[in-house]
Amino acid sequence: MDDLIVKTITRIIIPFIQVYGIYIVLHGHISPGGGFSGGAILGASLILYTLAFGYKDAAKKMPHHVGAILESGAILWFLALGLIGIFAGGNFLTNRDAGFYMGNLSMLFNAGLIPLVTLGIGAKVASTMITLFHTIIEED
Amino acid sequence: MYQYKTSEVKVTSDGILFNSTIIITLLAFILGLLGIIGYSTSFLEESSVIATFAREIVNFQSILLWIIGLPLLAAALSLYIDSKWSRGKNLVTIIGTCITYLIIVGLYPQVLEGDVHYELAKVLGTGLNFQLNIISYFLLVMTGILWLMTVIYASVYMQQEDNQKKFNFWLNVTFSSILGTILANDFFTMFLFFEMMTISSYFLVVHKTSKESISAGNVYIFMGIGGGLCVLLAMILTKVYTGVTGFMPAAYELSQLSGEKYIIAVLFLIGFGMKAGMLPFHIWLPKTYVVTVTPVNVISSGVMIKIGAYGLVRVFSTLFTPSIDAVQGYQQSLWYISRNIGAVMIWLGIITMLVGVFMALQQGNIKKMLAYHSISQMGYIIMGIGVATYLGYKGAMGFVGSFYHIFNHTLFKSLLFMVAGVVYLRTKEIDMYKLGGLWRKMPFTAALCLIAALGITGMPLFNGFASKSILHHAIDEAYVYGHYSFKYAEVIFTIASAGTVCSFIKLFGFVFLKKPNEIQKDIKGDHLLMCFAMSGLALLIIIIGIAPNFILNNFLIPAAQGLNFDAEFIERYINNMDFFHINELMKALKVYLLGGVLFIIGVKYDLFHIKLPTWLNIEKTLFRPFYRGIESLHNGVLNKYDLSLVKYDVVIYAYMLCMVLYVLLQHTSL
Amino acid sequence: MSSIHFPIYSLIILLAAAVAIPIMRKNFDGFMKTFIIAALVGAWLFSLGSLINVFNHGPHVYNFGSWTETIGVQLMIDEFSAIMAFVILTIAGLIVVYSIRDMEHEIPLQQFGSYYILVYILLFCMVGITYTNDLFNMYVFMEILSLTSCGIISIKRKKENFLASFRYLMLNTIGSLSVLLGIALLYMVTGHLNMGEVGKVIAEVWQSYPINILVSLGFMITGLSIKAALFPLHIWLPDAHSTAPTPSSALLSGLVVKVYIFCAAKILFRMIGQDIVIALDVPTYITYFAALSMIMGSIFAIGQKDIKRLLAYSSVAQIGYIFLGLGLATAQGFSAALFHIISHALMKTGLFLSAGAIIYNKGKRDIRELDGIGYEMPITMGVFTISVLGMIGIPGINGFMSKIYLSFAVLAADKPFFLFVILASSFLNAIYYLPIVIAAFLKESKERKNIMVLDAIPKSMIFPMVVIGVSCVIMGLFPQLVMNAIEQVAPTFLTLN
Repeated sequence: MDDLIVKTITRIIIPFIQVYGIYIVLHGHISPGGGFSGGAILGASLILYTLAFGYKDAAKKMPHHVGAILESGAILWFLALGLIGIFAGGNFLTNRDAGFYMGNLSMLFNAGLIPLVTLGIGAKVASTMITLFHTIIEED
Repeated sequence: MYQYKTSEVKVTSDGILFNSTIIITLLAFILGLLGIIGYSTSFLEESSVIATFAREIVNFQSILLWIIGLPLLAAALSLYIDSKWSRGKNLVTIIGTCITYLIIVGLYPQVLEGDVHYELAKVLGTGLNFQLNIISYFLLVMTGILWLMTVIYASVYMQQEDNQKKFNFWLNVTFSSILGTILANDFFTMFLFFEMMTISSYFLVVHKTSKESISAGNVYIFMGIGGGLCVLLAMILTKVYTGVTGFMPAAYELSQLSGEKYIIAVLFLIGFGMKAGMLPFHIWLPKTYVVTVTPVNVISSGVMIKIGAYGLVRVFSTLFTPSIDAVQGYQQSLWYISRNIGAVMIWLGIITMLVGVFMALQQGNIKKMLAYHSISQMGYIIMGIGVATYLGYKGAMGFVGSFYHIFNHTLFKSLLFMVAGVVYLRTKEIDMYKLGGLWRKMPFTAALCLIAALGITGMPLFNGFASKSILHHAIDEAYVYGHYSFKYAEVIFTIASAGTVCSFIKLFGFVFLKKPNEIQKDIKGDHLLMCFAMSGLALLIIIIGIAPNFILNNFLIPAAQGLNFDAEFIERYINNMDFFHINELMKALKVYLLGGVLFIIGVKYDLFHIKLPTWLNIEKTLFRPFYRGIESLHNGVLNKYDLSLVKYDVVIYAYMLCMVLYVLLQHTSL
Repeated sequence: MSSIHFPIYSLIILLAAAVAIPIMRKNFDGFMKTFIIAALVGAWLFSLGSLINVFNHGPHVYNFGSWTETIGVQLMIDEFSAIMAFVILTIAGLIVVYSIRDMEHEIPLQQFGSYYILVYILLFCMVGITYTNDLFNMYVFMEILSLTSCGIISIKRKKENFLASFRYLMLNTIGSLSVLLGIALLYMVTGHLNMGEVGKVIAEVWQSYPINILVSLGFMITGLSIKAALFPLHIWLPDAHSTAPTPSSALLSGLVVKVYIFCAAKILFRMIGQDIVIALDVPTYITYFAALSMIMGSIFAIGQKDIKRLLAYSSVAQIGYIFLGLGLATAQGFSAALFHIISHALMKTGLFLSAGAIIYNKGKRDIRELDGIGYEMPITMGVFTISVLGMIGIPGINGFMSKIYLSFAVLAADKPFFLFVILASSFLNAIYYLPIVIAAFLKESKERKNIMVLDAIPKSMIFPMVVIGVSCVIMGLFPQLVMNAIEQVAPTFLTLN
């Protein structure tokens, strides 16, 4: 689409969408939301960019190899967190007994493992959505 | 008429003295003959060196495994050596066979003392069990003699075919598997070697790889595998219902079952009968015998169909008999299973005999005629086994007769096939109506053919006479001690024997005596090596014919005493049987006269070209429609539904779900 | 490192390898080949370690995150899962080694990476389903498994592949939904998702909620039957397995289908329990369909002319054998079924790999064109012949021993009718397999004379085939090596632990 109004509004609104997405991802263990929904919102922001500015610009912002690195990196991050549990003496994906910082209830940095994992999931979902969208768009 | 290869035969009568194969085979032949004569005159025990050496070898614990393993070793070696050293092509095979045969011969003193057992644990789940007693020893000796002669014969005959290496390999593997089948003590061991024999003999049968060979081979292997599966099914049922896995008397356990014992018996009968050429499963025999090379014909009719008969003997003389302490006399009630099955077997044997001879008279192709004669003679053997099963406790005569006939049939039928092979080698013609007057060119071969023909028809002083007399006694006993209908069986027996006489008068007359055609003007004479092989067999025929009690006393009576037959009966009737009694000679004369009359009538009214109506051909009425039925079912019905099933996949899922839920919900009180 | 973590290490290595491939270099060179094989060998070694551990120390459970089983995901590492995971990784290892050279003529070189990603996720899911003791975990793995199987079928971009994988996807989704509905119904009754817990609760309450449990059982069994290709629901199998590239066919036919049978076994015996299953008369139902499958699979195979389609229909028949063993609901039947799973995986992989080698070398798929090929490719046809002899039931190859064990189990469970079905099916197998072997070795090829030469295929393709052929023969001659291990499985599996 090559509309001036859409492009201008998009340029203003995208940061807010992304902040909102990051907020949902980070507060996944306190409030409703979490990795999947926050990641979807993050992904939606870049899809909006693609729709407004066209595929070529969006591909410069988020090329395929960056998406691949994000996805693989997220899973490896998840596995690494689980392995910390093993090396600390418990089973896979152990939370408190592996020494993660638990904190107090309803603080931002508590519940040990869960926010870290949620970050990974958020990144992965976002990049998956963008990659899928770009793959389907570029075949046209 | 099949077009055989008309390549130039590369064997000449000159220059043979320098061929190493010749020397080795001569040595092997002489040693073999000495081996046969040797222990009978206890020559081995007098000469201490040879005796101790022999004793060392045979006391070796796993000697049975070596007997089976040596031909396999020879097979592997022959693949390697035959391609490197072209002059000694068949050496490894001949040497391997010779050594195995010598080991077998040397085991005789030990077998006399008692059984030899060997167990190879942990193979195939339950372990392999081998044993050696007089019955299996007898068959081992027979196989060894025949294989030795065949290998010598084949080393000359196969030079006109190609791929000798492959042939030698499969020949050795078949030898090993046959030895394994005979030596097996356990059902599963026997089944392993039985299947191995089917597969390796399949490769021998299709050696020529022409289109007709492959289609005949298809019939052979499918029937072989089908028969093997029937035997497997029977073995599994036996193991589960009676707990018996070896050849042990089990009539008590079997009588506890209701219908399964007859299913087991029928399955064993079908499975082993298919291998033995029993009607109505004999159709593979004529088909395959026409397309194979002659050495394969020799071993097939000489040994492999006997394995079927051996299987029948093993099963019905041991499994269906009561154990030795439960036996009190022939009125014992546990024999009734044996009785029923025996009656069926006798009639099957009689029908096989008759149909075999009848079909043989119609043939012009020599090999096909000899194939039908093999079927007919197997009918004699099956009838003998049937009598042994039917009379149970008093069945020793039938058992002895059938075993004697197994040995004799090997000798003369192999000789006949070898003669047919020589005739083909020289004249390239296998139709007896086109041959004639060959006695001038090949006098020695003609004499051998005459000896074999006299043997198979039962002339006194030749070996067939002894076994046919015993079989005749056996069927008489079935009539006397059993049912009166066996009188007709005896009549058919005589007619079949007369038919055999007629057929061989026809063969000998047409091939050797008739006036010669002009085509066969320039054919060479006999070949030295092949004559050695054939004359060995002929010599045995004559020796056994002159002294029939030798085999009886040394092999067959100990064998019968090893099984559960009435010892007093054996002592009274079979021991030191007088074969040359005037009654026997009169019976033989009667048969010959009848045969001669049949021949004259046949020639006069041209009865030898009868074409049976096509509906009598079992293959066309029974097997082919079955096969066509499956094919048409497939092409017509299933292909259509295969594609349309795909469209209705969801419907099928829904239907199955409802069916599952319906079945399951029946269990609640809904 | 403590050896109770070994199964987790296997799973982690497989998943990590799968996701590490996209970020590595793009071209498929020696480094990537080494990496792939090293990852698989690593996972295999860990599964071997866990197998040895289980046989020395006995079974144990493994809770994720040290949560108890009522709230966490649990893996059950007992003899059954250790043996089966080991077998899966061994055979998959051989197939992956084979596929490195074989995929060259199926897909373009830049897609090799994607193919191995899919294969490794597939292996991760299979090993996961084998180990898991949690219902929902099993469901998640099943879903990923069906997606990746579709992926490895349709990676070859041809129209028939797309059609086949689409149909596969549709039917598998129906199956998965069916299973999910069953799981939901069971959760409604028992309130647990862990198989052991569910088993304990069902043993107490099944008299009170019979309809619920039965309906859920019906849904789950039917759903799993679609995925495991029991007779009328096998429709997706011939297209899928015949159009896929050869290593994919071997993986699908030899391993993926069996994994769903593991699910069915776990549901029937760990959750519902052997006594209830027999009381509900479920064995009758499964064994009749199994018998039908055995006969009809072979009859459909007789008329096929494409070699891979023939092998696919033959798979349907052999899966019938396994369901027969499972459906008898006795310890002996279960052991026979497990033995046949292992031996069929070996034989079918051997058959597919050798068929693939023929296609790689000559491009011929029609069985009427295979005359005389035994002389050009003797090792390939040798492995093919060994596997065929095993399928027919010649002693000395492992197929014969599995038929014997199955026959004994059938007779011990007092259903002699199925014995005839087993042997009739063996004879039907002979009818369509033997002509291929006969034509390969005995008929004259039109193009060249019958002189034996060595196969002209790369060594990395010959090596797995030879290993499979040799192990078929060894397992056939010495079946106790495997059967002793399997016989320890049945008692612990069938009783509720």
